[in-house]
Amino acid sequence: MKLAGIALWTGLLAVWAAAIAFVPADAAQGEVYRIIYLHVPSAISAFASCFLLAVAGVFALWTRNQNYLTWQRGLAEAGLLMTALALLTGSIWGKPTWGTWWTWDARLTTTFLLAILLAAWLMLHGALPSGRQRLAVCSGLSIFVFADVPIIYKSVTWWRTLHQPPTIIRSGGSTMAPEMLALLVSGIVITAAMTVWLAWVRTDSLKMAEKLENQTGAAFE
Amino acid sequence: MNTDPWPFVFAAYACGFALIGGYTWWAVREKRRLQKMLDTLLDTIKAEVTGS
Repeated sequence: MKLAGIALWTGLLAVWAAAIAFVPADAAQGEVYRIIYLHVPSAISAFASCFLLAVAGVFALWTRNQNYLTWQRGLAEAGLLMTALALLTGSIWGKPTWGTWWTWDARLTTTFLLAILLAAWLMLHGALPSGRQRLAVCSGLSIFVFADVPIIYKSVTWWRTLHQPPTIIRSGGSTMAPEMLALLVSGIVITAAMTVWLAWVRTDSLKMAEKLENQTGAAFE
Repeated sequence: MNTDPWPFVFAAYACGFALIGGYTWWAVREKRRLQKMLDTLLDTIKAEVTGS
């Protein structure tokens, strides 16, 4: 687990260094486009963690195994972290590009909704007593949270938005130069792996906290 | 676009480093703390069982 963390951090810092110093500037946006190597991977990692959250939710409802609920807690935390980072970096990119830090555009609003849903999931998990009811309610909410992801993805085509349309996955292929696309894909893979690793570390901690609680009766989270 | 883009680029990556780095640091520290407590508890139980 420790080696995986070191390897992921090394990979992530290498991608960020390449994004800042080595890839060429964009013909239309100039230097500010370099933020996408952080913004797009964090957004896709948030979507991936929401997908895994829903999968764990389905398994939890199916098997009634509490381990799947613990995994959901880890994934919800990591998902919220990545959603917050996507919103923050998008806002920083928006100021020099659109001239505003924030606008209630469909893509931005639906992503903001995802952050609220994930925060609500964590609050609900904390408020309910442990047991079958918490497992059922939180797992149901996990599936509901994931329902927002396809809406976010399609928001730029369903509504007229300020946010640019899809540039990576689109009919007719990507509009990005191969070296830019390669670095972006590397960033997506490493950031998504980092998200899963963080969820794994947290799930491990939460399982230990549960064991301690069962043995001593005190709260350890 | 007359604004200098570099402060925005560095600010974004600083945010990324602070958020992911901060969360990693906290999650690893929390895991170590709980592991230590669990090990101590297991040692106590073992000592009680063996009577040492």
